[in-house]
Amino acid sequence: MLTDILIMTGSLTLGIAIGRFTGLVIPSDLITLILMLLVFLVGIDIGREEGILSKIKMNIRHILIQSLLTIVGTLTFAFILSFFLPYSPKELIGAAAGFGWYSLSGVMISQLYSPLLGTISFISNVFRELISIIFIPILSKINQRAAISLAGATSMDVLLSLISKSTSKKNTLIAFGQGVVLSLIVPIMISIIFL
Amino acid sequence: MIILLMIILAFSIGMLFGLKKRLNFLTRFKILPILTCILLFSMGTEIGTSEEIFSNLTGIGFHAFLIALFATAGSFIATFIYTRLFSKTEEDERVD
Repeated sequence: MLTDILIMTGSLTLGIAIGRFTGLVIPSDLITLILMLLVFLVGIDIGREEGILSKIKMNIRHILIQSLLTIVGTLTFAFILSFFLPYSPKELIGAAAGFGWYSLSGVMISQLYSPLLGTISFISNVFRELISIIFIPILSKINQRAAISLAGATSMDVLLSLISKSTSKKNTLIAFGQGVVLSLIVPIMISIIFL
Repeated sequence: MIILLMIILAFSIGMLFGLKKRLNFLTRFKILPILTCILLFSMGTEIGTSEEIFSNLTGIGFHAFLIALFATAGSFIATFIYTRLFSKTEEDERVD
């Protein structure tokens, strides 16, 4: 998990350095194409999970409620934050709508809205993942479902093993479902917000 | 709008392939992490070439941290309140 974060931070830093010194800009059509490929592969990744449909079906009510609560909580607090920061509610809600999926949210918002907000969204979703790594084990002792909601879309992959260590089997499954639902919703929500 | 449709389409087709256990080999070659790195790299070049972003990185970082803090706090509080109000049995799932 930490190696992943290091490699990804490394790619980003390398990009910043090369952009800074050579002025290289990647064509946006190419980025869109890579984004589509990414979403396509995530789709395969979810679909190939053994017995995924029946697993989700069994707990569908819990999964949908859990996802809804995560969305409502995140977006409401992002809206509240807009009273204190120099950004519009739309910008903050959009930035928070990555739900931890920083690669997708950052790039999408850069493409659809502005590179500045894309960067903010990217960094804030990296922070969301880090906060989750630190606090899920602690908060799950108070309330497992509430702890899982921290992870947002990453509860399906990056944070799933951590969640399975800190919560019950049933809640781990709900966490996985939350990740699936949010991974589908993130790109849709961001493209609607910045339409 | 087009991008939205394309995303839904890409995701659905991908999931369909996954369910049919086709193209599984694609996930074996770590294409996903490589794509993610390419995206992050391109994101980096955008940050590097933009004076507006580059010269304000610390301020931007602080704001981003606040967004993450509020987002996670909001999620926790919303779910916490709901489980306390509506689901007594789910609390029994606690392992401690």
